[in-house]
Amino acid sequence: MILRSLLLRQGRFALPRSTLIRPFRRYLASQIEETYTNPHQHQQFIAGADGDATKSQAATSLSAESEVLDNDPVALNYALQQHSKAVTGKIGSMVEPHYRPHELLSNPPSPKDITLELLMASQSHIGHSTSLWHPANAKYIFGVRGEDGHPIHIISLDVTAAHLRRACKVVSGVTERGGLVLFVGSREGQARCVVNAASMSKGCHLFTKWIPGTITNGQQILGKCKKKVVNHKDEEVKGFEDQLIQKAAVKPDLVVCLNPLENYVLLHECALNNIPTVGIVDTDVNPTWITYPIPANDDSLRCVQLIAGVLGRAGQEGQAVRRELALTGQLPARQDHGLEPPAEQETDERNSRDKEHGRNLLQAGDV
Amino acid sequence: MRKLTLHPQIRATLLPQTRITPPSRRSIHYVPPLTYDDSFRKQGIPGLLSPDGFRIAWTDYQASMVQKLNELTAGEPYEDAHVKQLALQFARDPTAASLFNHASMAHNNHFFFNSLSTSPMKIDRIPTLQQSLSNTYGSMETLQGAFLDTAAAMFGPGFVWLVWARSLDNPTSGVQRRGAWRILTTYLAGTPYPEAGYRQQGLDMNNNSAASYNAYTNGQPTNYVGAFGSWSQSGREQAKLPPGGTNVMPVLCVNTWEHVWLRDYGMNGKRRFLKDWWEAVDWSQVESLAPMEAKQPLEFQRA
Repeated sequence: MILRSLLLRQGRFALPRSTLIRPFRRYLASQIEETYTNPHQHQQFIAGADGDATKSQAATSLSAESEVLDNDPVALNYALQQHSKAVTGKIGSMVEPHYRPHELLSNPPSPKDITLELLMASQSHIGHSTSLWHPANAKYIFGVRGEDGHPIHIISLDVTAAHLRRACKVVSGVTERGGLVLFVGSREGQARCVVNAASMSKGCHLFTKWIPGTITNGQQILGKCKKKVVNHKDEEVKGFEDQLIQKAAVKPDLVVCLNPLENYVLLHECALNNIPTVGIVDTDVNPTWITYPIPANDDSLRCVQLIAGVLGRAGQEGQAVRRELALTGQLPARQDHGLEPPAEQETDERNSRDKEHGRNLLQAGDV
Repeated sequence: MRKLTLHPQIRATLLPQTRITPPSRRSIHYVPPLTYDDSFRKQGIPGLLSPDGFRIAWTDYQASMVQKLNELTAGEPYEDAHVKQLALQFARDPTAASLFNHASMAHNNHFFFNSLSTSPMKIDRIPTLQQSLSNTYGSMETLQGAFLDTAAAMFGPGFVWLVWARSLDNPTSGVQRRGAWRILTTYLAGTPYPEAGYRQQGLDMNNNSAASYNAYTNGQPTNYVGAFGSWSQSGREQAKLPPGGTNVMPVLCVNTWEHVWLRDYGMNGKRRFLKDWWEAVDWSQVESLAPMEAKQPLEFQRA
């Protein structure tokens, strides 16, 4: 009501100025082209995807999170500091949008921010020396550049963008259907972006050496790892501990590998177990190792962090869609886990009562 | 032909229709757009400045500050830093005095013009803020009197700030840090933020003698023994700023530099300018800057 009378009384000059500066991620970008939307994207291909009775158990929440006290001085100090930074930090001049390296980790771009300018600025078009190339990815290569002694291959950025967008669709599709994504990046400096991407997609991460046999010999290597059961709201459900002892560790539904050359064992194990893989394919990498290759530069940390960030954001979007659907009762996740409902609680109460008295006696009348 | 440092994207709509030469090198800092830029340009600030006065005080002056900032920061590692960060970083650096002055002045000037609008909201329409201010000053009239008298008594250019100052005493048994509204004066291009350290200019040397200045700078006791009090060991430790935080939050300021009011009010018009400015303050903007703890009802505590 206040705004309406303001316009009527003051006229159009009183209208606040709209922001004229484009967001930094699209600052140098060309016009946004239409992206393809699959008309079959909502089709359910997985059997048993409808809501199943075993999955809709009542959720027992974990221990309550520590609540922030209203009059905690540290919390108040922090709140004042954040408020001060937000309202006065940028007063004085308008700074031209520019690249800040830490933002790739603290605020990664999303799939809609993929532009050729961003890819080129992240050095993702720079391939290896022509003498080191793998001829199978000739179709990803734009041409040859460099001094006449040391020419290198240049990767086509439109091909990179198309493959990266496809990989984003794959990752978000997997997380939408409750799949587990494993992000792997074992080179130096890739740890942080790998962990970020995995936490956004609520998947798993690995930034050290892949132990050969983790999937094919998972019974041995992951035999003692912790397993838990979660409901459709991602809350842990107790009562399945006995059954989980026998269960094998969950295999990932998708593996994203940021340096395929060093992780060829992982990719081979995934292929043996029908696990699709997404990976960064440089000009010297064998593209047949990977299901959904992304032709890009795997030696540039900026390029790797960009791709990991974008894939993590895609996973985050898929998780958001899955959560929305779960809250309305539609459960697209697979229900073929083979778990039985937890046992009755009377025996547990009796055991706890016995332990309270410090003795484990059989009282008269107990069965 | 005036060469103004305006962003290329907004240049075409704001400048008069004269031939514009593009800047010879890329600028990182540009004059920030005010919310009511178009209206101010054509009609001035209603009740305060004419269009010419606004042009001098904002358009030309801020452009010269920003241009000098670009020259001083070009090629340096801090060329991308925001203006407030530059002011705080170089406040105690005597070799970067020019950079500090221009950065602090750009920040203060923008702060001043942000609190003005085409249809300012009066304070009585924001009861929470009015109550909070009255808790400290008794009434809005008293605050107005104290504020404008302070500004009129300052000799020479500077800024007068209304700040929310948080008490640095150790909070007892979970009670939150208390605070109060204060009026803070800064001279020339001084900055009100305490993180700037020694550059706080709280003493006007025209109104003080050498003795009082010595007392101000050397107000240290001969020893620090004692279990309590602001000069004891524990007192001096408590008087530090919260980690990464601030204990002063400015919400309103008035620019008393002569070039702001000289054209419209004349040489003897400072008092009238201050009175007109108080009527022109948009208190909704002040309310958006005020922290949450300043707008909550204060509990009455016995002294």
